[in-house]
Amino acid sequence: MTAALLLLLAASDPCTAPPPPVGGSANEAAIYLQVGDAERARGNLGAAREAYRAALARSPDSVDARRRLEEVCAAGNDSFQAGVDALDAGHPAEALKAFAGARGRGNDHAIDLLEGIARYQLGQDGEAIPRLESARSDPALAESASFFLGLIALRRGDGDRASRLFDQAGRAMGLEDSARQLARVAQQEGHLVFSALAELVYDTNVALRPDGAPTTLPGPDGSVGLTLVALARPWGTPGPYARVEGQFSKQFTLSALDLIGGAAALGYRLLGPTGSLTGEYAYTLQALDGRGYLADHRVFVGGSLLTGMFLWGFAYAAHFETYRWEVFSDQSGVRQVLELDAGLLPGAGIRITAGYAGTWDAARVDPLSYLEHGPILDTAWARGPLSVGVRGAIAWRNYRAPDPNYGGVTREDTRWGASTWVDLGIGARWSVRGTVRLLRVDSNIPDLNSTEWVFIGSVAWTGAVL
Amino acid sequence: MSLPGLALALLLAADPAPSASESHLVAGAEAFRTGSYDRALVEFRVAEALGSSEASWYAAAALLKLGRAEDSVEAFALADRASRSSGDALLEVYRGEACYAVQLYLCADRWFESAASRAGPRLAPQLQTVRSAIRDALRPEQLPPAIDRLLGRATELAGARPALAAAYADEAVALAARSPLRHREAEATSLATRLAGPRQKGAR
Repeated sequence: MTAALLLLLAASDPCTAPPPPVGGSANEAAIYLQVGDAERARGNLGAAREAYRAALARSPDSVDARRRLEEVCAAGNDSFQAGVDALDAGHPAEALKAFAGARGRGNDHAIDLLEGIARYQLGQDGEAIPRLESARSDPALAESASFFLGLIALRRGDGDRASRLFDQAGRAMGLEDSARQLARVAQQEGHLVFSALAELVYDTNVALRPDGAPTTLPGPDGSVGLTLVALARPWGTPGPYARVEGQFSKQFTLSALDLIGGAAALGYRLLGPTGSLTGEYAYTLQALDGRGYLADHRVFVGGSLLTGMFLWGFAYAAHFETYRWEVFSDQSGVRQVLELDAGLLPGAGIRITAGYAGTWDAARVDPLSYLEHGPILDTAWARGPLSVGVRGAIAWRNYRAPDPNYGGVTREDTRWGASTWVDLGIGARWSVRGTVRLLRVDSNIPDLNSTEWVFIGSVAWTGAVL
Repeated sequence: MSLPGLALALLLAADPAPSASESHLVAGAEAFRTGSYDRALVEFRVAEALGSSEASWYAAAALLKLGRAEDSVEAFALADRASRSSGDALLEVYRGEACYAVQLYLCADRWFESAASRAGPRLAPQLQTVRSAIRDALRPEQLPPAIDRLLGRATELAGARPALAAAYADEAVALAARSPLRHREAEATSLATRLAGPRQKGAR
């Protein structure tokens, strides 16, 4: 986005080659000089250079033409161009120094916009806002300024204002896609945000029945689900937040797997111009078939850092799990998950992420404790309201001790996971999504090999109330 | 979108003895065709100074390509005042784009409508799409603040750049006529009348 603006604002530089002599009258050279002066006065140094160069080509001995060309070609003295170059090179602090000396030449609104962008990139939102507001008063720059004001509002957690600003920015040709996507994000960034997700699911192997198992065991089933989430961020982002979730899922045939769950979380999110860090504690309680099944205290830390076109991320979670059914109680324990990844953002709405994830599950008994690790590859593409993603993962899971239930063999699984999804935003609040997931387990205990396909159609609504 | 420049270049290249202004028009058209809009602007300005009335229209298009939409609107208005309409559908598209870029939506719609009647099968649907977007953008509740903004800008420019100020005032008049309570219509009309410049016979 910034690069596109810079391309728009940056002038080409015809100063690199001496002008070849061209036939023409002295009168023509004088006209070129006049045109150059007029363009220079209007702040269009690119055209002024072209004009002075053309004058010099027609009148090589003209001291006036040479002097004026040298003046406008002195890039080091052209504060505006130097600022644009610095911003383009990713040095906003340097750009600010240059822009300070570029005012008063008839293009102050453009400088306001670029200064606002530079200060936004430096995280100086309070100083960026008045400059962007000033740029917004210039109709030619209004949409671009609105776009960056929207980003600032988004960063401050004022989703409603961000949404309005992105709506304005979306009127500009070339900004529509970014603005529309950000308007959707803005709806998730208010002080009080509600969301609802309704799902229709078909699962070919809901209980992970082994390959070749008798069909009397639970097999395919469908379900409907509803998840409701309320998120409060009293001071926006960065700042503390609280989240409450409710979850309900009703199986079509296997009512023993009907799920009711609830979760509450408290967290704090730090947000800078290129990175974020989140810490959270959450408590989740789930019931299957109307009976309390799992209680989970979770501690989570995660963050990301953007450097150039790379997005580096990490996430760590420790789950302190208690299975409340006697038959599953040995699975209770502490499960820790760590994922490190690097994302490539080459532009055009594409994100490619490669990472490595590991899980250490210390269950109450060793035969159920395991270490799992493996690579992850995730690719997503977004354009306008449409986004598409594909994710693949392999995990090698090794249990800690022989399992007496399987003839004293220590279980070793390879788990293959793949999923793909298509998401279509409908306006700023609604979206529909189709997801297909595959999980294949290959175990050294053949009885545990299984395949599961899951097909999900969902509708989501997200809206900022405050 | 470089077709007008290319057509002009071909037309003028066929002339065995082009005048001084015409050779600069050709040079400008060639620079426009290759995307060297700074050079194109300079050549069109030189042609203008040497007496070409057509050059003003092309200079306005070059200004748009340079991202100077407001200057482009002004240049088109001045070209309109100085000579009869170009009659070129693609120049009208450029003029509509310039108006659109500075949020003179009715101005944009007027030029897109004019161009659409003569545009080819590829361009016409695009123009219709933009015109639909313009209709959506002009919701009644948005008209009063838009009129306020336009009149503010017109007043600000009235002294130094009357042709550009007139474009804003004309838009304010047109929007006021559409607003439910005829928001500031008399004021807009008065300002637009005061700013209206001399127009050539047959001008649009």
